[in-house]
Amino acid sequence: MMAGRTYGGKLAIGVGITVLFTMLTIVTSVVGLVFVVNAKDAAITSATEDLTGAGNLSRTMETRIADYRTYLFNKSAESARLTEDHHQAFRRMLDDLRRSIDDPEVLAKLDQIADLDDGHAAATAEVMAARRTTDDTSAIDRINDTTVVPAREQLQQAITDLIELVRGDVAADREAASTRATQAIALVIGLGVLTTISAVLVALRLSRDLKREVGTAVGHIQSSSAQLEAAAAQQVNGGRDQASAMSEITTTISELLITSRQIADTAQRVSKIAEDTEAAARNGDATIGETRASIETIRSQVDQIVQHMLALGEKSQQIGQVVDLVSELAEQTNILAINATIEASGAGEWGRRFAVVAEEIRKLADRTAGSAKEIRTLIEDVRGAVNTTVMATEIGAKAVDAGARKFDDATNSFREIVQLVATTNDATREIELSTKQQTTAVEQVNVAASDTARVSRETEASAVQTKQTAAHLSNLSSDLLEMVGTGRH
Amino acid sequence: MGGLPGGVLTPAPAAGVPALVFRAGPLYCALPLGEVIETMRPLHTRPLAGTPSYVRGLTILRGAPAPVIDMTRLLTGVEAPVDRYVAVRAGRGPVACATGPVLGVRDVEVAPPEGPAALFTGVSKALIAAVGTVGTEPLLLLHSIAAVPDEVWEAAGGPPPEVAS
Repeated sequence: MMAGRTYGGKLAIGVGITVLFTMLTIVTSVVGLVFVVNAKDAAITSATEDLTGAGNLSRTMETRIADYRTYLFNKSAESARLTEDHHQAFRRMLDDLRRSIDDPEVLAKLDQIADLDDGHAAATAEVMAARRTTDDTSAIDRINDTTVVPAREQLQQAITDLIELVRGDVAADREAASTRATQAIALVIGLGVLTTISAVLVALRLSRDLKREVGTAVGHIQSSSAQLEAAAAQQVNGGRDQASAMSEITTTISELLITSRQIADTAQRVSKIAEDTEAAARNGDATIGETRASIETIRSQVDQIVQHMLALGEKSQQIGQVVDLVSELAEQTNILAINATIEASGAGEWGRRFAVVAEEIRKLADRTAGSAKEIRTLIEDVRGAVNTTVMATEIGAKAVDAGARKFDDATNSFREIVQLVATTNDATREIELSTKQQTTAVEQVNVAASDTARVSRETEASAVQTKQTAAHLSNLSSDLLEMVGTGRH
Repeated sequence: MGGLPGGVLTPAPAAGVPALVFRAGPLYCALPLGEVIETMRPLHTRPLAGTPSYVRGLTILRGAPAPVIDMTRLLTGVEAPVDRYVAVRAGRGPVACATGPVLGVRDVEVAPPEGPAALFTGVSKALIAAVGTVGTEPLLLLHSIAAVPDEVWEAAGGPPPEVAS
């Protein structure tokens, strides 16, 4: 039931249980006391009212008998009246007693007494009537002895029995009251013992839990105190190291501050140089444009040269075709001249003359063929020169193209350089600005480092104080463990 | 084409033999004009199987088949470019002689066969009539182109009728 509860909760539960048992004991005691009081009241009532009533009944009977005897002696009306009054008082007392008693046996005895009283009253009335008429005491005595005395003795005996019965009831009531009182005492004692045991158990449990929990907590506090002490020791050392390091940092930052200022000056100079470079680059851009126009002109001229050379090559080829035709005609003429010579050789003198002409024609054809061959050679030379020129020109054109591309690349590179120079200029300005900001920041860092060094020293002092406090806390924990009776930590 | 300049061959004396001078590889050769029909450019020639190596094949001369004799291979045994065909009269019909450049018609001075020509034997002896010079080069005067085997004539369609000289 107490598992998982706090010690305050356990204490509240224990006290609640003890209070509950105490309240139960008190209520039980009160109830028992009430019962005992009622029983004793009943016994006292029985003793005072019933027993007294029975005794009074006997005394009234005696008084009545005395009045009766007085009447018999002096025959006075007063005695007769007293006898009757007491008789009536006897009857009233008998009725009162009947109302206050509930024991059947006693009630039966009361009925018997009432009957006997009626007999006795009749007997006494007879004797008193006889006495009123006579003074013969002897006769009166005889009548009395024969009628009244037996009735009176029976009545007295019945009253005596009644008294004994009532006394027995009183004794029984007293015994019952005593028994109830004894039971109540035993119950109260039992509850008291139970309450005491419960209180002891609760106290033992609370004490044990107090030892355990407080011991555990104090042990943790002691362990934590030790750790805190060790940490404080480390913090002390760390604080010293930190203070030393912060001192070095402060020195370094001072040097860094000087360096930053130098960098800022250098960046400013670099920015100036970058601006000059950018201006020079813009001038170079105009020169590049002019050079590019010149390259375009050269390219156009080279193209024209190539076109002219190709046209010259075509013309040379056409001349070659004509020369081939001339060569063909010369060859054919040569063959025809030879054949004419052959035919003319068998035709006598006229044939020989024709052969001479044919030989001359053949010679002309040979010269024509030779000239055509020379022309062909010259044309081939021209075509070769043209081809060489075209190739050289094309190579030149390609070189111009390559040069133009390279120039374009160079132009692009130059423009990139210009752009990069501009970017560099911007970056240099940013560097200059950043360096100035950095210098300011370094100054602030220097101040902050000085503050940090001071805080480090304060931290070291606080760590020393913490260490002492932790040690003191550890001692207090030991003392508390001794106090709660758990000295195992 | 390829004829030599006119000054190379000096006109022969009248006592010389009129002949058609041409080149066959490294040699100067000449054919008597009486045997020559005409000169022409090389014609389309069809090769023949089973013929000597100097027979290039058959061609059509003026509508009739004629064998083609490679003169360079016949005289020297080596290959040389062919510039002209020279049609000659042979014993069984016209024969086309594949030659080098034709140099022209000249009267050539030749020595009798008993001179250096006595060294020739076999086909050369039957083919070379005499030996002369052209400048410093030897000149072979050929005759009786009879070196065409009978199988060639048979492949050409049988012996043509004799041509009157």
